[in-house]
Order: sequence, then C-alpha cells, then structure tokens
Amino acid sequence: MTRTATRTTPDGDFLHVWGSKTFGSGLRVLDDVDLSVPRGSVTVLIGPSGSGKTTLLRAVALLAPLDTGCVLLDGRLHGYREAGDGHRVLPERELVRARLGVGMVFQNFNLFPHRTALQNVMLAPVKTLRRPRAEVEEEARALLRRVGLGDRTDNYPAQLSGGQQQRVAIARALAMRPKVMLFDEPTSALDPEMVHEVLGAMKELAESGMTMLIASHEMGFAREVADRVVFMDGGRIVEQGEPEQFFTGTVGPRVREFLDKIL
Amino acid sequence: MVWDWDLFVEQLTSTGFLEAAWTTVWLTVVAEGLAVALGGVVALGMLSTSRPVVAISGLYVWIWRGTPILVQLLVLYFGLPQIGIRPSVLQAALLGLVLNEGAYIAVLLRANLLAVPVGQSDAGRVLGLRRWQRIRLILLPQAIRTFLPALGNQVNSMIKTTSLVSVLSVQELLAHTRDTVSETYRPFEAFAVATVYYLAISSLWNLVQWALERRSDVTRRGGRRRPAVPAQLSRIGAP
Ligand SMILES: Nc1ncnc2c1ncn2[C@@H]1O[C@H](COP(=O)(O)OP(=O)(O)OP(=O)(O)O)[C@@H](O)[C@H]1O
Ligand SMILES: [Mg+2]
Repeated sequence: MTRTATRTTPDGDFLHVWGSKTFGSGLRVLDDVDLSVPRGSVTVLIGPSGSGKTTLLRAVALLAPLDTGCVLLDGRLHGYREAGDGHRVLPERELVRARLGVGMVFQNFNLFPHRTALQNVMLAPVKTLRRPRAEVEEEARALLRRVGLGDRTDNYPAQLSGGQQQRVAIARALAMRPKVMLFDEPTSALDPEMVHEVLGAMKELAESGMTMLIASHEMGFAREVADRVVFMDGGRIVEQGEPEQFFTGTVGPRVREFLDKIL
Repeated sequence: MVWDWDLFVEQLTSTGFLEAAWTTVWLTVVAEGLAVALGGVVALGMLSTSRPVVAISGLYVWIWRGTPILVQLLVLYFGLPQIGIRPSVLQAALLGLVLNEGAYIAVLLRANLLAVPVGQSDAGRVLGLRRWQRIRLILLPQAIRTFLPALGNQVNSMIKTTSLVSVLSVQELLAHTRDTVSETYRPFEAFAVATVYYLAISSLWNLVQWALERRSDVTRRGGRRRPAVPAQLSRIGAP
C-alpha cells in the first residue's frame, strides 16, 4: 500500500500537505512536515525566521514543489501524480492548470504596477479562465468593493497605500475562485495603522467560509479568527493546537520561548 | 582663403547634402526599428526553456557583439556573393546594421526582463498564467519601460554608426561629404556641413526622446501623484 492511501482520506481533510524539501547545499528546509487543513477552517503558521513557513506555502501553491511527498486538495492529488510508491510533481505545462485551485497573497503584494487595481483583478480570469470580460469586470468591481476599495478601481498600485495594495491582492486572488487561500505574512510589510484593514478583510473572508492557511505573527488575529495554530521550527512542525493553548501556556518550551519574543 | 562662408552655406543648403542627411535619418530609423524586432525575438530566445534555442541565440549575440561592425558589413557585401547571394549595397548596409544592432538590443532587453522582480513572475504563476502569458502581459510591459532610456542611447549611437556604411558607398552623410571633398578639394567646409547635420539629427532625437520619456514617466518623478504608466493608458488624474 502506498503512503497516500493511508493519508488521503482523514475525515474532513480538505488540504493536506506532507513531505520534505531540500535546497541546494543539503539544507533540509522542510523536514517531514505533515499538515492538514479542514474545509472552511483557518490555520495560522508561526515560527522563527527561516523555519520554513514560506517554503511550505510555496510548496502548496506549486511554486516550489516538494522533493518527496505531495499535496492533496479536496481529496485529489494537487499538482502531483503517483510514481512508484511515491509521488512526482507534474511537468510545468500541467502545473499551470493545477495551480488554479489555490490563491496566494504575498508579503510584498506583488501587484502588477502597470495595471490598475481593476485590471490587476481582471487579468487572470480573462486570460486563464477565458471568462467573458464584462462578467469578469462586474465580479472584479464587486470584489474590490468587498475589500473596501470600490472607489479605487482605476488607481495604479503606486497610487495606493500598502494596506490598499494588499487588499487589491486579496481581491485579485479571490477572482480566480480558489478553493484555498494562502497568505505569506500579509501584514508584515505594512505600517501598523494599515495592518488592521488587511486583517479585517481576511477576517471577513474567514467568516465567509474560505479555507485559509496563513503565515503570520499577528497573534491577536490568530486568537480571534484561527481554528488552529501551527508552530514550525527548523523545517519541522513542532507543535499544533487551538489558539487558546498558545496563550494559556500549555505549549512546549521552544514555543513559549518564541511567543515570549513576539508578544 | 582659409574658410569660405559662401561655400559652406551653399553646401549646407544643397539638395545633395539634404538628401544624404535624409538617408542617414531613414537608415537609422529603419535599422533601429528592425533591430528592436530582431533583438526582442533573440532576447526571448535567450530566456527560452529550449536549450537549442538558447544556444543559437547566444551564439548569434556572441559573434555579432564580438566582431567589428565594419568587418560584418564588408563580409556581407563582398563575402555573400561568393556563396551566390548578391545583395545590393543598400540591402547589405541595412542587413549589416540590423544584425549588429539586434545583438545589442537583445542583451539590453534580456537584462531588463531579468530585472523585473521575481515576485511578479510568482504572482503570475499562482494566477495560472502560462510562461508566454507572463512574459507578454507582466514582464515585457515592465521591462520595456526601463529599456526605453537605453534604447534612446542606442538610437543616438546608430545615427553615427550609419556613417560606416559609406564603405559600401551608400550615399549617406559621410559618403556624400567625401564625394564633395574630392570634387572641391575643400574638406573643412564639407566636413563642417556634415558636423552640423549630425548634430542637428542627434539633437532632434534628444528632443523626441525627452518627449517620449516624459510621456511614459520613466524617471517616475511623477511619484505617487502621477500614474507610473504611459499617460494615454491612464483614465484618471492625480488621486
Ligand atoms: N531558493 C532558496 N534557495 C536556498 N535556500 C532557500 C531558498 N529559499 C529559502 N531558503 C532557505 O530555507 C529556509 C527556510 O526559509 P523560509 O523562507 O521558508 O523561512 P520562513 O519561515 O518563511 O522565514 P521568514 O519568517 O524569515 O519569512 C531558510 O534557511 C532559507 O535560507
Ligand atoms: Mg517567509
């Protein structure tokens, strides 16, 4: 029996990623991680710099695939195929399609600077989903209104504040109707007064039932919104549990040491 | 008499020099235009995922940037007939200029494409854009904006490089000047006229470039108050 068979069907698992990844000089950046995210739940990833949070998210987004292991989404292999008694990542040509199920928001927003907010949101649905422009535009405007930017549709990224740019990035990801949304430190490039507007948009998204995996050290947000907090260190998942556990101190010494530093 | 003003003015306003200057202008424009097209293709070739395409593009750039353009022009005009191809002087001249300039444009464009932050590509990838779509819709528009000032410099260079095709006796400014000198035996006036024309052409180009750059706000001095894109694309003024 292959390893997948034992892992495909834990009840309610919507997103499931497990495996390892090594970069160039033998540094194990993901060391036998195994993470499940139930449908409609919010998981917050915390951990010191270099612990592998970004690498894990990029693996799920199929930007930097795992060496061993695989990603399962909604009961299906996501970007991988079975090969022998392991898994192999699909060739780039096929990955392009596979990526569509997962939306990602980056620390630096990565908006397209030569396109307006509206054009940023509309680009992919028109070009990759080949949906009719008028319909996409209507939906894009609605998404921008949803993140509180209904009046900034024609602004270029350079004309928007960081918080506004990040909300455009969220709208852009949502326009692809992803099954899962990934956030890589979405507020850590923002001035403090802009953090809450982005977290507000994320909270609203969580309440709408989106499945979310978020690398963030916003512990207040985690406490309020997350169903689960996962602590990573040295490429491993060291501890995971409900947010309250991380506040009431029923966690191991490494986690407590880390929390003392960031809280 | 050391300097003959009448001769200078006569030559400056002669149709011969005017036609020669016009030849310099259109050679520059046509050669640079075709070179940008060629260089664009080669730049994409150098960034291709296919090894043979990368190798062929690299080989072309290596050879054409590594040898003198004068040699390239002579090989094209005098060498090609040996294998049965007989280009006219104009064909050989244009081909020579385009092939040489194309190699430089390719290198410039490639550098500007690579200078677009990788995050832009990542964003395109998670949105499901194919490689070619990412290049066309995300990378090229940004690379072209940073490429424009360098292109201006290339055009400026090309105005003067066209003088080299005088070795194939294309009647551009330099060839006409030398023909004039061999008739009048008065090089100073003739070369002074050529100098005036060259300066006029490159000054004119500086003006055009200045206007183009202002329109596309390449220096981004407009900052956040003005859109950092060509004005004609913008539907709004300052926020
Ligand atoms: N492309 C790469 N090549 C080599 N090493 C890499 C690469 N990307 C990341 N790493 C290394 O992998 C480790 C994990 O990096 P990662 O960015 O996933 O950490 P992180 O938890 O997101 O950290 P941070 O909180 O600083 O964002 C680091 O030691 C990093 O240096
Ligand atoms: Mg990171």
